[in-house]
Amino acid sequence: MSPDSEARPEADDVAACDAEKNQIAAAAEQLHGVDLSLPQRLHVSSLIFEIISNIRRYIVPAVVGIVGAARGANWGAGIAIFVFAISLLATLVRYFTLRYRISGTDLVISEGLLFRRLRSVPIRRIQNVDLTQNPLHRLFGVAEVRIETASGTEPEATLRVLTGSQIEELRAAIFRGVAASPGHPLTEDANAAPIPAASHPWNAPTTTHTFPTHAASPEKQIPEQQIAEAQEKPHVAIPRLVYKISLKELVLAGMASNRGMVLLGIALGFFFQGDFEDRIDIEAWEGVVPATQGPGQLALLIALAFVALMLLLRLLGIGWYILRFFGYQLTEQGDDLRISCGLFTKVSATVPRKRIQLISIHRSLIMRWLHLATIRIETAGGAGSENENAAATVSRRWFLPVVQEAEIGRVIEVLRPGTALAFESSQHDAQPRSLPNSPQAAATSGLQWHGLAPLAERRLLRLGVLFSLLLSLAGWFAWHAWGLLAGLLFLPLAILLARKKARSRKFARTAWGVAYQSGWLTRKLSLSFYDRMQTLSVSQSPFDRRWNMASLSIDTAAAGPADHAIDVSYLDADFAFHQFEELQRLAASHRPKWT
Amino acid sequence: MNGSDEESVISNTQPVAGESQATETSQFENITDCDYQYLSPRYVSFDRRTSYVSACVIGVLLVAASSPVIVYCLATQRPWLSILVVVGWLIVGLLLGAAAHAWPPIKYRHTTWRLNSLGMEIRRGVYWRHRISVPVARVQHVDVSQGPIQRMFDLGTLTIHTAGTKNSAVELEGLHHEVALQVRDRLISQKESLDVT
Repeated sequence: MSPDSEARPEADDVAACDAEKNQIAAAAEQLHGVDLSLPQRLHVSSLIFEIISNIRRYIVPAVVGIVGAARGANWGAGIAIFVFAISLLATLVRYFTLRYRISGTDLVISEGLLFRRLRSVPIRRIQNVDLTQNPLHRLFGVAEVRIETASGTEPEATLRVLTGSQIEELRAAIFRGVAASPGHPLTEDANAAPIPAASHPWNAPTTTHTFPTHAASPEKQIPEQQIAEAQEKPHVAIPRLVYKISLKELVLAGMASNRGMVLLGIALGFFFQGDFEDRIDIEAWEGVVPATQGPGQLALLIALAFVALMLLLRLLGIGWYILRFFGYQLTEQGDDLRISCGLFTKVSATVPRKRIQLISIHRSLIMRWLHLATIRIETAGGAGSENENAAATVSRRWFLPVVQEAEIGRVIEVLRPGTALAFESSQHDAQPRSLPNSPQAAATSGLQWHGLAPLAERRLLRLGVLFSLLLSLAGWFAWHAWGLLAGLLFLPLAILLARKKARSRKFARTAWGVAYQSGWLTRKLSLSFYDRMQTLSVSQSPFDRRWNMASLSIDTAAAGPADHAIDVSYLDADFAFHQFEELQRLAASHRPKWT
Repeated sequence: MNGSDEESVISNTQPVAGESQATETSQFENITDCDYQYLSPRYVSFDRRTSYVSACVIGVLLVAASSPVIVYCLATQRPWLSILVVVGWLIVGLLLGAAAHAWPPIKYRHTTWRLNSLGMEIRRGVYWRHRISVPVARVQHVDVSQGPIQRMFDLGTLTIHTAGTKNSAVELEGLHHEVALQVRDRLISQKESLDVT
């Protein structure tokens, strides 16, 4: 990039003229040679990707048109051509009119011919710069960039597409802008509460978190070599690897997951959408399936088919995991967490630590056998579920798809310093049955678990019994004796469920927040923090009052699909009210560091 | 409740009387910092009036929905059946009216709120009881609104917005308008003083 700066002296002059005004742009330009204060264009290949994206939007009329055309209807061809023309026109207009530049402290994006749109995003408000790169993108050496702020449900700006060097410049300018603005929460927080390196045993002494606010001033000359050496900018903290998923872990996770089932479901959906008769020619199968001689052979065949199907499902799951999360790396850079993964479609997403609202650790039965877990987070803002791209999906829904159980505590400590959650291997879960109110899942030591109200199990049991009795009554009306039997057979299951449900739910209050665990087969543990609690509530239904119970729930700004929010029912009423009051006090005294 | 002209209306509003509340909701009693307040007593008459209106609307809809039955009864020469329907109307109407009259005071007795240094707390619900608390530091902004009927009773609705999701707007209807404004001012000034320090 350095030869560029010599090739454009006039750009240097322009920047020098209003150096006071455009500090950030000037700093960016000194490092990279491209003056972002001048309007920049998208890459030429944008035309292709824009058309693809537009066609996806007009897919229904396009398909109708093409099908019509295929059947020889003139109107069909007309529609197809019309749709294509519209998307082409929109693409051309967008490509030739879209400009982005950095003006002062804002990122300004203008587009449109008839309806001009000028969008100006203050750099210090930018939270995320997400990248998505699919194989086609990689062919051109470009990527799609999404710029997000804390507020919206949709990305503030989508730049489809930019080249690698364009992205680097833009990202550098944005990070510099963030570092240069003294009011930014990132810088404020880094100064106010530096993470003590000593308290993290894994923290290498060289990687301290520094966020010098003065570094971006244009007077400071940085030697060219140093820039060339340090790819990442010197003012931004050095990235540090937090977790890397190995191929083995991905394979195990894929095996443990039910993704294959989902994929198969989708495939079957597509398959059966069309005319059933056309696709499956029953006659043709007669040759494939051998004529069966006896019931034993048939049973064997069915069993074999079942095993094959299960194998296929698992293989599909493994395939999906590898496709999606290959080479997953979670790195920590200053106050941001960065994720990059993907086999064909490469994804790179940034999640500021500030935005984490809720941390949830999910462990399904198979994952617990394999000593693995999934860590999910919920963030504030950027929750546009309809307009989500691959990067957003990974960072919002899948944060850390698979992690070794022994590493959970360390990762959580990075996500939220100060939690000191010691996650022991779940082998310990199985043995101690002796402790009365802290049963098997004592996996998280250091937490003072409280179970549900003592009568909760009986209450759930009664509910289960009532349900199965109603079921058998309905069964009686439907199929008489057999129906009754079916309902009664459900009874032991209901009893087991009530027991497991009541015993698996636990609540704990700690120095930093609240933990809630639930689930019998899939165990979910959610962590909420005092400074993230927005409102607190306790409620009592008439039944709750009869059983002297109450439910406690905590509302956070977690904008994602609240998979496992803190909402604990069947607590002992006195305990719940006491916790409510304590939480009220603690939530008021812990103030959020962002607004 | 005519003391709306003084500066401290909050302290003038009727504090929770010990007897009825304490016996009915003993669970909600162990807070000492600042007393719980009832809504404005005028809220009862306001609530009654709106309840009457909705009872009337429900009644009219009911009559309209079941009038084809009468037409059918008359057409099939069975007038006694239509009398039965009319009696049914009267009973339902009476029940609706009684509910609209009796429910507001019960609801009033079960709705209290409290504002202290920690934040705003609201307790409500007769059968399903809820207690919700908004810490001062989480208040994003506060709205006070007043509808035309509310204006006749000098009442207001306080809405506290937070950055939350499920409870992102906590609403309290039936405060004296002046009180609602004072609560709003106090919440905002408390939040500002927090932000400064």
